[in-house]
Amino acid sequence: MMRFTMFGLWLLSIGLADARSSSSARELRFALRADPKTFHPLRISDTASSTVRYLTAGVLLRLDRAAQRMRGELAERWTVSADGRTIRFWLRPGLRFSDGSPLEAAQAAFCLRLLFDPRTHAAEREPFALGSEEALVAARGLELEIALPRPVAGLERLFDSVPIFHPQAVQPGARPADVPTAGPFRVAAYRPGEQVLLERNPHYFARDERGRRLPHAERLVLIIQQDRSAELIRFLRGELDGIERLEPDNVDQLAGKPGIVVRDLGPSLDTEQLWFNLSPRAPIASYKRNWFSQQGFRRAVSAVIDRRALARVVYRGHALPALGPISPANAFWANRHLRAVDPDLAAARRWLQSAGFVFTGGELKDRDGRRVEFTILTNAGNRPREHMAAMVAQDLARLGMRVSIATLDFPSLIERLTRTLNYESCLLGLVLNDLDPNEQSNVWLSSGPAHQWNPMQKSPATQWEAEIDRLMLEQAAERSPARRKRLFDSVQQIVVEQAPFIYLVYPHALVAYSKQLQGAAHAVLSPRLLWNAERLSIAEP
Amino acid sequence: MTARWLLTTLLAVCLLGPYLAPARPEAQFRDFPSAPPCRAFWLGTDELGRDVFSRLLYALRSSLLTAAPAAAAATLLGCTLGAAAGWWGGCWRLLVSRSADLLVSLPWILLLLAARAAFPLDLPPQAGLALVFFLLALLGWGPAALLGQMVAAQIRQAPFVLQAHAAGLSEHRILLRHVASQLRHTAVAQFWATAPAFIAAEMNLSLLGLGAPEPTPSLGVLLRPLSDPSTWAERPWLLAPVATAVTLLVLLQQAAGKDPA
Repeated sequence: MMRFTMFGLWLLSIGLADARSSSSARELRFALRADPKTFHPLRISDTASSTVRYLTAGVLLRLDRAAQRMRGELAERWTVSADGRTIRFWLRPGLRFSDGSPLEAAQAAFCLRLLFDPRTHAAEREPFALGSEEALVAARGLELEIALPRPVAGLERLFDSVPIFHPQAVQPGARPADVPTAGPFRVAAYRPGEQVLLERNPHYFARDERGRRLPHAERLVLIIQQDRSAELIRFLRGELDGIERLEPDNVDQLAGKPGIVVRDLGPSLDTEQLWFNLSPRAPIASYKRNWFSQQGFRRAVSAVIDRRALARVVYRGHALPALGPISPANAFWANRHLRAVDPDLAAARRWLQSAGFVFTGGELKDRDGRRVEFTILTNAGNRPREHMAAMVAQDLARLGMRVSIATLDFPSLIERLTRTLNYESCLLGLVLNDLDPNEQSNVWLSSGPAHQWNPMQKSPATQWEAEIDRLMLEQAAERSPARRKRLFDSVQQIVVEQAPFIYLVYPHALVAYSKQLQGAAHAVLSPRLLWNAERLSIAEP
Repeated sequence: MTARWLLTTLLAVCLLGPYLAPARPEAQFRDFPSAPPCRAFWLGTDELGRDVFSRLLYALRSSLLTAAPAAAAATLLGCTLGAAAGWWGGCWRLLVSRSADLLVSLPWILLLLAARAAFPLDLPPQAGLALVFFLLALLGWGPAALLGQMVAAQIRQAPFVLQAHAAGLSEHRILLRHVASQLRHTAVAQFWATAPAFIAAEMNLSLLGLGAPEPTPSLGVLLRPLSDPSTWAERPWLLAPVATAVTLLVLLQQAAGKDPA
């Protein structure tokens, strides 16, 4: 046993000693889990592209991930009108793009007009609730004013993801390396499947407390590394300076290793959930759709799942049993009246009985005598999800349900979830990047593409979905935080009662980084380590 | 011959797996996740608290019972097509040899991935595993066909076959009596080479998470912790017994292939 341990540790620590010395100490290295799909700042739908944009594009305001409040970035100050329809920014004087060309309100206005144009189909337009209407953008010198047709709650927070870019960035066929940027870095080179090399923007406006120009690092290398185990090995060998999303299995392995900091930041905003396919367009047996459509069936499934065991066994304690749609990490917006659901077999049987199911001979049958059996779909290669599915299947076997598990590679899975809708139930997670409920409009509105159990409805299929629509739209237009909170609490209450998503756990935010990394201020919100990349540097040996 | 006896014994043990296993392979003892070997769990438990010994017995059973028929089917199909191509030649030979070349040179793992994505999702787990091996058989007859073709072409020119022709034996009888008996040895050797290759292919698929679905145990599924580099260091009981079993199985199969029939 001891021999195995020593051999394993030796294997893992090969190359730890001198990997950093082979390159510049002013170079940061992190991993991207996939190639960026695009460098177009307004066509981003994947995490890798979003990370590159976060590091290169300018923003008027930035959400300080550690303090969880907005701070001026390209704009030195801003005001929101009392009716919540108009926001006015004052840009910093002397701003420049990375090629030295000036950046004034007119350039920012160009970006905003493009973003608000419905023909651009920018995902960032959705939270502004413009519908078919337009926002008015006016620029004069360093002053920029945006007038919206209706009030938008938490308006300034939306600007954390509104990019300010050079007109060249949206030119067809523009090479990323030729495009000037307004953020802390610019793209120097992109080698597909290998890496995205970022270099510091020499004209970036910000300075640190000691008056030194930011960013500190000369280069930031984003190595494309799909495999999580390989990412861990590279980190252990000193080829990466940190891991943004550490797997729970690896925490104990890294803890106590010299030169490495491992942090469990507590529950993240992310959720892991199970849902049944309720779409009338889904090519599944109609009797199964009838089962899934019954609140009693979904509540029974929810009632019998042992969430504490999921958190303890699958996540090794690095997760919290889920109560509802919003993690307690989001202290303001989480509904404090929701309580943890311990597995309750008797309650689950009562729910099933009320929905007309019968438990006979160890099997659960519906009114017509059909055995209740279905398949849980999840993505192949994600061990925590596969394990959760196995545990949920065992819990449901106590109700007499026969549950199979199917795993598919991610593209095939997404194809089924979004296009063919050919699945019965799915176990997947939701990654949230902001605290505000408006961020989740596309999940809760019945017309939303991320309304997974029955996406893109022309009109709400059920009364409770219509009620959620009403509450979401009302809170989005409400200025009073307390009133918004009450409205969104009601949304959460309905979701728990109707169980269209059966929430399982809130995984903890886990990060690891080298002790040589200076300026690290890890945060629960993504990106967890790179959010202040301009202040990160490597300690000189 | 010893290797074949050992393999037969192993197969018998695996067939008796359900009676020998102390627990069901999917049973989760949630208070004992990742437990090291002890009296209650002879080979320890996995991350979900499932008994590794029981899972290993079931996995060997599943892999052997599905890989062997699949290898037999691929060998039979390949040798039959190859022999026919080698014997009659012409367009038939061109068609079979080109198809076999294509199957040998194609990146079969991609074909398997594509086929796997098209499976119905509600297949029972064991049927899913059987389907994986069926696909392997469907895509894996190429080497047997090339070998069969070569052997049949050689036999066709052999003096005893020319003599049989001269003695007036019908082609049908020559094929059955002489060619088939000569090909038998080649086919048996090919079978013993194909079976471990199929088991390895299932392991590859399972390592990608696309083999047998949870909670079905197969050798590939049991080796999946291999993708986590810490497993060897922290939970060697998850890998050591499976790795030993797989190595033993492959060595025995190779030895069996070299045994005189």
